[in-house]
Amino acid sequence: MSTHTAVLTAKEAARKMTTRRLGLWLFFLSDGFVFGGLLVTRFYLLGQARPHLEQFLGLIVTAVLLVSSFFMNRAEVSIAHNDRKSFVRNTVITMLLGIVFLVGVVGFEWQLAPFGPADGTEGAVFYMMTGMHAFHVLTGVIFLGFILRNGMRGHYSAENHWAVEAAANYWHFVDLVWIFFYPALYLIGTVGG
Amino acid sequence: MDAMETSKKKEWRTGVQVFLGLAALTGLEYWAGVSEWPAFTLWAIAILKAALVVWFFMHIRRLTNPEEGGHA
Amino acid sequence: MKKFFSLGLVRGLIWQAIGTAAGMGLLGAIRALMGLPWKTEPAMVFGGVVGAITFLAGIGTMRDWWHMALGKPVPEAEEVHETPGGARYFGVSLDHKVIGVQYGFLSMITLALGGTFALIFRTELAQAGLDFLNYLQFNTLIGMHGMVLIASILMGIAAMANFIIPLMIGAKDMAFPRLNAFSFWMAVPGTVLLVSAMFVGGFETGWTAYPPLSVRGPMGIQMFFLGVYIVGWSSILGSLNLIATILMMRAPGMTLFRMPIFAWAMLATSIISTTATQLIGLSFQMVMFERLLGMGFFDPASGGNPILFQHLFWFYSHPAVYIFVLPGLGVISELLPVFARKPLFGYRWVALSSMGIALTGFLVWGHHMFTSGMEEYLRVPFMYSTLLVAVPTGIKFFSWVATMWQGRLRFPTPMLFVLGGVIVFLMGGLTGPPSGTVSTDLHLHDTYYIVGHFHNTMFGGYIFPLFAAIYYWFPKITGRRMSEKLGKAHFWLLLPAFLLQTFGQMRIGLLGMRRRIADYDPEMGFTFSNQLITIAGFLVAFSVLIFFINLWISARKGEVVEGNLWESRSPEWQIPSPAPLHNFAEPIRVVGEPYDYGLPNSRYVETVRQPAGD
Ligand code: HEM
Ligand SMILES: [Cu+2]
Repeated sequence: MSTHTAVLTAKEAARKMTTRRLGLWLFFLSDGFVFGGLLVTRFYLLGQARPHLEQFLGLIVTAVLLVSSFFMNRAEVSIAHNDRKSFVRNTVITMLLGIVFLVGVVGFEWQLAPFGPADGTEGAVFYMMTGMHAFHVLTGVIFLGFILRNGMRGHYSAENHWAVEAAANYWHFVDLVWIFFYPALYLIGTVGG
Repeated sequence: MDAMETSKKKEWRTGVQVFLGLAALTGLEYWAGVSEWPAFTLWAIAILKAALVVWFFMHIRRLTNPEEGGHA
Repeated sequence: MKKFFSLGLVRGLIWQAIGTAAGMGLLGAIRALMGLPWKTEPAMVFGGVVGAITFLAGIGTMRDWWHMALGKPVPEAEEVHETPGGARYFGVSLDHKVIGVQYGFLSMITLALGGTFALIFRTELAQAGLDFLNYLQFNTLIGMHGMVLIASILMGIAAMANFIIPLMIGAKDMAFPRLNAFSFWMAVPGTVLLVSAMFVGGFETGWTAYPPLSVRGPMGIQMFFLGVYIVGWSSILGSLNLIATILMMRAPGMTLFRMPIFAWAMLATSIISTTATQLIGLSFQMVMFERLLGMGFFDPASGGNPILFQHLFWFYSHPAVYIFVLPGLGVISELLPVFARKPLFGYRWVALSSMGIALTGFLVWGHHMFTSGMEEYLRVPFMYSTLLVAVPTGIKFFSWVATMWQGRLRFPTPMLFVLGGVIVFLMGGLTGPPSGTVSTDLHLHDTYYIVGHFHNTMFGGYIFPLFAAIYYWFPKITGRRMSEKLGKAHFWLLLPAFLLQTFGQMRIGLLGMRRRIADYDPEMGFTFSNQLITIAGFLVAFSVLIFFINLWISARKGEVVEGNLWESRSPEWQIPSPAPLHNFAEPIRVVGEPYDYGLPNSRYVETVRQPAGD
């Protein structure tokens, strides 16, 4: 009798986990439409022209975000194997890299760009795209802050770390967006005027 | 515990490999961009990178395999 | 008095007022510190955002999430025991049935509000000349009429889905009960902001908010944008929840093709609203930023392109019309077999046609832009894709007719509204192709003909089925049935009055009356038709008043019904009315086809007996 209930509850737990994952992916799908709309806007308004940006800086922030995704993955794998120390270390690195990305985009690229948000379509597109993305990076850093705090207090284990999985997936999603934004802003087309 | 260690090491190694792949593609992308390859090659590279992230980092297959991911 | 202030809703609204004022003050102070002068518009927008957040925090929708984020234990939603009683409906509840009724209240309030706006501007239109409104007031009223009712429709759909779907698929609740409550409570400050647009200057653009007019006009448009943005997020999160619920929470044995047809309709609807809604939010957000920061997206004066706005806007707003009607068409398919005592004809085809409509609906938005100056080569493809939608829609019609064919029809009030819906939606479907065909639409666009067309589709596809659903499922909510006498009066007044209204609208449209015009030339010869439309509009409103009275009286004094009033096979009718707290005392299992009415010895669900002492 008791094994019977145990099997049932294991099944129930698996269903709950899949439901949560599905919810998160549906959120990504939905949010993806925002970024899709921004890509459409970029090509509709600017066509084959691309904004005048610091090519090298773009490559650096892209690399930073990519490396952060690597450490994010490492952090999640660690906690899934009960390695709390390595989880904390890798989460801290991810957060720091996320902050470096934000400083790179908002602190440098926004200041170096030869146009402001009110300067024609180029400015509108550039600030809207990077701004919307940076907002997501910022929320991602905040989520990481929460799981870091709880992780240091030992709330997570191999059996129980859904919050980590969710925050990590969100982080990868934000990286995913940049995978498309980077070529759209920095590489495709030619710098006009 | 040993099995745990090896499995962790194995997943870490996958992480390194995927990262190297992504880094190589990003380098290629940059090079393609500055040498003005046609736009669709850049899109193709981006889609490839996205697929790697979705598959290996975001573990999309966990949607159909609830046991995966280490939760009980 | 103390009791009044302990209601969540009241607390939330007070917090919203405080938050709005604080947000305005904060932005003003920041600007002052930066040496900038006071500017009302950014302060209002910022205050509006802060107010919506403080509403949600103040009412307590985020408390549990905050605790979770801090790693504190939070009870499973199923284990939360709420004290029964009326107060539950005015504060945060996690019970899908309560949330469904809450959505229903809000939807009825916005229905009455939006309808009142229409009566006001219809009175103005009863005669040529400007009688008692000025242009700005008239324009504000038509825009508010459109958007408040769209909000009302979204909430009405959420009401039906929340209340019925978990019961129908044999679930205890929605997949994410806390998110569900959050989605509902988002809609309240969203609605407040939307309506506040009237009081901070109004706006001139109609519900479509096209730039450049929306970039330049009065400030009310900002509150309009903000309200729609928040109501839009409410709809996104609610439909995300529904998809997860329908895919993951079904009773054992209920495969996708054994699911009640309404669940299929809601699944298709929710797929559209989780994705497409983002695009109206984005386009509105871009206009907001264009006004606030001078970002040149749409105004040609700053290099932008207004056509882009129309693409983004209609990429949502066309699929949105299917958001509005698919649930209603689902209700029609759901109720017809019950009242015809026959299996639903072509169940699989009907189920898949909802998906078909949802997917083709994404490919047709350009038919709103034939005269906009968009790329000319896009016209014909959009025309063909538009006409393609007729195929899955046609499937539904054939199924309805074939289901009724040789059935043992009964005609209580819900069935009357189902049939009314079929007839009116047919009118909407027939008037669509002339507007979808480029050559004819060049003449019809922006005339009252279009107004007639879409009122037919929305009433046939949403309003009539909504009323049918309320008459049908009312006993599940209250344990009492609604008065048949008042219900029939409601129907027999609504149907002819409504048809008179829309035929009148189409007629004056063909005679050349443009939409969104406060005044017209008496020489055009349609003053009399305009008067008829106004009278018909008042009759429609009067019939809805009868409906409200019916709701009020029946909820308190209606005939008590506990069992399976309509002899339905659906799971929600196998449990007592009103539906008990956690829905199914014993879990159910699906053992047959859902719509085998009239087939001997066929069963759809059975209860799973729990082994004793488990
Ligand atoms: C056979 C199916 C349909 C066809 C072919 C069709 C076609 C069209 C076309 C071409 C227009 C644009 C006309 C113009 O502005 O010149 C239009 C407008 C409209 N349709 Fe439909 N339609 C169909 C069904 C529906 C349904 C099911 C709804 C749902 C509620 C709906 C709601 C609307 C609305 C609200 C507008 C007006 C939008 C505005 O304010 O400009 N239509 N329809
Ligand atoms: Cu349309």
